[in-house]
Amino acid sequence: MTYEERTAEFKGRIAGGQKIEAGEWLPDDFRQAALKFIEMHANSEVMGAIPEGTWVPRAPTLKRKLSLTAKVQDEVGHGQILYRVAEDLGKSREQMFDDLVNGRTKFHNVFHYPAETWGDVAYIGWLIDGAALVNQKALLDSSYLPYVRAMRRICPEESLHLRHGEELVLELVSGTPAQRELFQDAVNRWWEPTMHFFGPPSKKRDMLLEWGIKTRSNESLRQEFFTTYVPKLWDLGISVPDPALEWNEEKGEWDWSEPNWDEFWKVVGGNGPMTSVRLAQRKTVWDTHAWVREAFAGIPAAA
Amino acid sequence: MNGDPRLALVLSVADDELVIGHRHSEWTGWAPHIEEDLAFSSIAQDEMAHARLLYGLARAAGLTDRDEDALALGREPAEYHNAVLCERPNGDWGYSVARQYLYDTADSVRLEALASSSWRELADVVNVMRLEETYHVDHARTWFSRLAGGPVTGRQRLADGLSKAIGEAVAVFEPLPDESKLISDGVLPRSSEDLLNEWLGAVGKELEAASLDFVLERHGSVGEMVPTGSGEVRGEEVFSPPGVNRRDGVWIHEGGFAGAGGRRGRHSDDFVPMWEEMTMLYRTHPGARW
Amino acid sequence: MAVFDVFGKRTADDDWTLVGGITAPDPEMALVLAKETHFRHKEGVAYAVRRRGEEELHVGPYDAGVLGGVTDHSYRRQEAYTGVGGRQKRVSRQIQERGLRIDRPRPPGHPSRDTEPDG
Repeated sequence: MTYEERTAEFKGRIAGGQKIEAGEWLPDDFRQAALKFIEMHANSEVMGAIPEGTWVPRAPTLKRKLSLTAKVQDEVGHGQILYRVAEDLGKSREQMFDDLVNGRTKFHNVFHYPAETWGDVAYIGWLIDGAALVNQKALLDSSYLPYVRAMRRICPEESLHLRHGEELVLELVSGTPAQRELFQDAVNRWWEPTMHFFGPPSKKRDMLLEWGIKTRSNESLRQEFFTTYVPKLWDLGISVPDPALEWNEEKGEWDWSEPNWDEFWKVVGGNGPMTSVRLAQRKTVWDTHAWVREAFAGIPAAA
Repeated sequence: MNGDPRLALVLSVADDELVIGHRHSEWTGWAPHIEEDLAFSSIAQDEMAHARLLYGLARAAGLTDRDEDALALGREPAEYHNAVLCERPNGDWGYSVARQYLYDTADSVRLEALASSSWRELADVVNVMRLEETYHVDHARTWFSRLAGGPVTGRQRLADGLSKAIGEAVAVFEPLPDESKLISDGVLPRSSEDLLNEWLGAVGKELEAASLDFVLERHGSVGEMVPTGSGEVRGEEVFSPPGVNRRDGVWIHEGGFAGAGGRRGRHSDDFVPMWEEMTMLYRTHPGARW
Repeated sequence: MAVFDVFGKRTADDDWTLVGGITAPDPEMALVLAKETHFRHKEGVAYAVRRRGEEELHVGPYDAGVLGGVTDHSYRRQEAYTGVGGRQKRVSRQIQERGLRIDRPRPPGHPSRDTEPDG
């Protein structure tokens, strides 16, 4: 069979809803696209650990200190799972880390922003995780089975995080006026990055959709997010800083204001408010701990 | 402070666990090997969960009426009874691993003794804690042997960490306030000095087996210790072990302590910045639920 | 350094099931790590690792009584959060009674979704 023929057959299988197992022959484009997507997902988990991680030392109760540590731990765990899947597609974890800390690869826009207050911790825990879960549930249907298996582990943990985040929000909105304000203020600052998170509405040709690695369009995921979370926010008396956001009965979907997409491209291109600081921190730890990698690679002394 | 010496005992252990758990938790998301990040974070959580258990015990026994958050986050610096070793910043991984090894081997000796405490409820809590502490010691020994038996760079980093930590690790066993009463009541089955020598002897042997015993010969203090409320100032690096000696092939403790004072609420320069960060949000909103 | 496949048993009667993979320098370290990378949420009663390319299965020394923790780690499991949905409804009711609910057009038949997406 020629490469063209094999690729056509492969595409046909995907179009027919078949799934691809680890170790099967993959067209180069598929392998490349899957690797890049999964690598970015993994990068996002480890970079996502940072903003919430800054609040672990500052958590306001012992229980939250524990639960936030566990949550950040899980995010690192998701990174571990995803890097493992990506590594089996042919790129070493060392290379992926090196590329990340040196700014050569990307991660989700939302993790380029600071977590300024505990209100941000609650927002991230409920709504950013909520947005991520909308994406991740869609990936359970991905064409590449090792990725699906990773998502099967990740989604229940993410679901737990979501409940935890919701609990943090409920405490704030039913707490003191200062606490309510903490959360409302966080919503006001985080809404645009959340809108950016789902990506721009239309794309001429989405390779990831064609290969079945992604299964739903950016727009459909964003609409699902609105339906799940906006009414809940309104029920809590929390406003969203988009005057156009409301359900359009006629169209059967939400009207909303498109955010400034230049900001999105700037951020994911590496110029977010915290991008260089965080990458520099990661790079410092990476570089100064080469000795640990060396110790792990070394031949153990005779017993 | 409550006249019952059992409170200082419980708080010494609980505050050690809280503070070192706090420090360990700062590695979550940053550890130099991603699987190790997960393991170390579990250890951090165990320590904080132990603190929680012990704070609960203190309250249930009527030794305090403060709840777990008021104890963990609501006291003034001089009211914390943790050893200075626990409050030091993480530094690099070599220090953190060395400290985890020294602390958890020490804790293991301490908990084994407390498991026979005449204070039944404490013994019960301790026996639950020990089930988790076993893993901490395994983890520490696995890292210890991997680094000690590996390339020179790793050996060096471990040795540096051990050198920095060992003096203050000895002070984990500094005598407790009213220790003689705790011993005569059987609450503390064995004296701190006794436990210290057991630990030091065992650690000395392990270090010798790994050819790292030189860290006991020459170690430096991590920084100045400026205890609050006393005239004591200690500025210079110590190059001979204060109180650690080798006699007849066994490492023992004789005399003083470096980095002591924690059990009496006297902490290093590193405590207050840590305490401020750790307690700020709790203290800023008194009575709030989170 | 090598990749170690990680195996677990959900119940004592199960066969070893592949649950993931980790990177470690040797089997001893792999076991220390695997206990927390793949079993900290009480995912199983037994665990083991096997270096890729080798036959030998290294079984972990900790048993079901200890895997996932012994002291209170409920904060990292579903059991601690089962009341959140109910709480959300109660708080929403209180907010409505205080006249703070925001009344903008929302999807029909949707006073408020009572479950977040399950996963």
